[in-house]
Amino acid sequence: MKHLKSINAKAERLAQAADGGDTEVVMMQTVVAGCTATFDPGWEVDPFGGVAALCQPMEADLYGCSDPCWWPAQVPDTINTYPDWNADAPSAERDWRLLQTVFPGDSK
Amino acid sequence: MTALHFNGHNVHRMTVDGRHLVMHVPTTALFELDDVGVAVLDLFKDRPDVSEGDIRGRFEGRFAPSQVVEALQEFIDLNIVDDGRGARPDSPIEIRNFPLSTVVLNVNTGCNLACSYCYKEDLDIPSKGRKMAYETAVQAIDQLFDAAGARERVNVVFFGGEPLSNMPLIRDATAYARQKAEQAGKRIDFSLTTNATLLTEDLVEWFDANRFGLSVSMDGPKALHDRNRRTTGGKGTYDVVVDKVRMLLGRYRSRPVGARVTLTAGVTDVMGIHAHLKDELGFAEVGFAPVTAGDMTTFNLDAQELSAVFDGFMELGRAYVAAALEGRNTGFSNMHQLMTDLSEGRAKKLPCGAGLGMLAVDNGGDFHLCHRFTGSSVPTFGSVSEGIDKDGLGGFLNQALERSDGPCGTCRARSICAGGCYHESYAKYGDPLSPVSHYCDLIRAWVDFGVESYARISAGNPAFFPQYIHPRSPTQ
Repeated sequence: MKHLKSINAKAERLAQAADGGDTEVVMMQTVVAGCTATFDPGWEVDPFGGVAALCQPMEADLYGCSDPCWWPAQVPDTINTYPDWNADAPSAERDWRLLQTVFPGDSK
Repeated sequence: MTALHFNGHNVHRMTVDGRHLVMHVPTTALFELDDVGVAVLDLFKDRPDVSEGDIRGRFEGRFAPSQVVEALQEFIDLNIVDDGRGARPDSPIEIRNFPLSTVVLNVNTGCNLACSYCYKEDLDIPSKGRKMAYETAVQAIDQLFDAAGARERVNVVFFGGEPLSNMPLIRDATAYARQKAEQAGKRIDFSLTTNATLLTEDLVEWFDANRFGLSVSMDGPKALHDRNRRTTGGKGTYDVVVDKVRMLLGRYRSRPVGARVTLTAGVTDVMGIHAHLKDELGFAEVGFAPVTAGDMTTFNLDAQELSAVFDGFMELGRAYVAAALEGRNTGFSNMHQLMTDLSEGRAKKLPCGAGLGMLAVDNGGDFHLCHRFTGSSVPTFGSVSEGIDKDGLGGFLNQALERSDGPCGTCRARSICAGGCYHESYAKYGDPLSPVSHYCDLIRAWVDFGVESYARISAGNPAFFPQYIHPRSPTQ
């Protein structure tokens, strides 16, 4: 708990339980973090009924999928060949228009 | 589009010295909010449901979206905000086992005093007192040990009438219970509430040797005490009681001795009573029981007096806080209990242990919810010879549990009050299960005062709690 600071013993225990994931399994379905496993139903909608924080549109978690290489997202190889491909787009969700297609001649 | 719904009955907000606090009502967990937490909760101030658009509109450019989502998630985890998956009901409780920790033995219905406000329905004048037989006490103690299960500590409480008027039984029952405890490998504690008039030096010595927890019923300075606490002949008892109390407090070493004050019509000077009993006489603590629902309405505190009593509680409470900040305990029991509940975060579904961990035995051997019900027309729950009527008791307690979802379901004090004293309800409404609605507002205000006081003490002198509160915990 970051925004609620415990000030009695029970609150301490609750916070530990929440932070340790001891609450309920269902809570993971509403936490916008990480990926779904392939057998999960996925997050069809986020808590607000929106889709902005979900797997679609693709820009929502583009970097989450590409940089840590959990999933092979269709992006240029930013480690070796096109290190600056996304330099102007720190937030894919906001700056996705600046992400361009690359061609062999663009590599440094 | 799904909206976020605010479960307002699960949270109570307070501002104390500029700090934003919330009580998580189902668990009595207390939290302090940061700016993001405050702003997110503020969102729900004028509407129960908010949409994504509301959130965007409110926070765009003010807080990072990740912070807002984080704070929302914390409220969702606590079921303060509901993200559309439906409110999670508290897991249902059903009571089937009754691991007793305490029996209260009504050793004599007779009393040498005739306090005008006495609630005991089985009260007799001394010559007509019905005394409990030794066999009954033995069977009751056997039932206690049978039902205690894995509990390591058990308690035997002697009550009356005036318990000192049946000392032979108390001595024999104590010896029997001690022996039984030794065989069972359990710790046993004894306690007793007395009007003090029959105390002698020998008795005090015997109680001290047996580490009895003693409480003396006393209503304050002479003028107030003698108003109601009189002999059967109508004479005030202050002079004799005060002599005995001085003798008792001067000799008693094994445990702190407390005073129990009954506040009735005309007896509302909480500050004066406390000062007399604590500072002048030297009781370790003073507890107050306001009478709101007696049989005889002339003794009940009316609404105005109840509010005067409540103001007195607050004034005494503020003195408690001031002393706590300096590392002292003023011995205001009601406040101390509230601070204990709030520092631990105790949440109750039932108002007290009556019927659950504690049963009272009348002079004939029948089980009652608590000592206040002996002699009443409320059905009994088995007897020491036949055992506890588990079906009857379970039925009663399950009905009591239902209150917490029914009339009390949205009250912010529900996890601390849990519907209030069964006997007050019984006396006022004829039904032990009716919530004590005539003082709900005061209970809520008292809890708020408690949270405020707790917040001040825990911020100003956190060492107060390990020093004065934790040693009282039953596990110690």
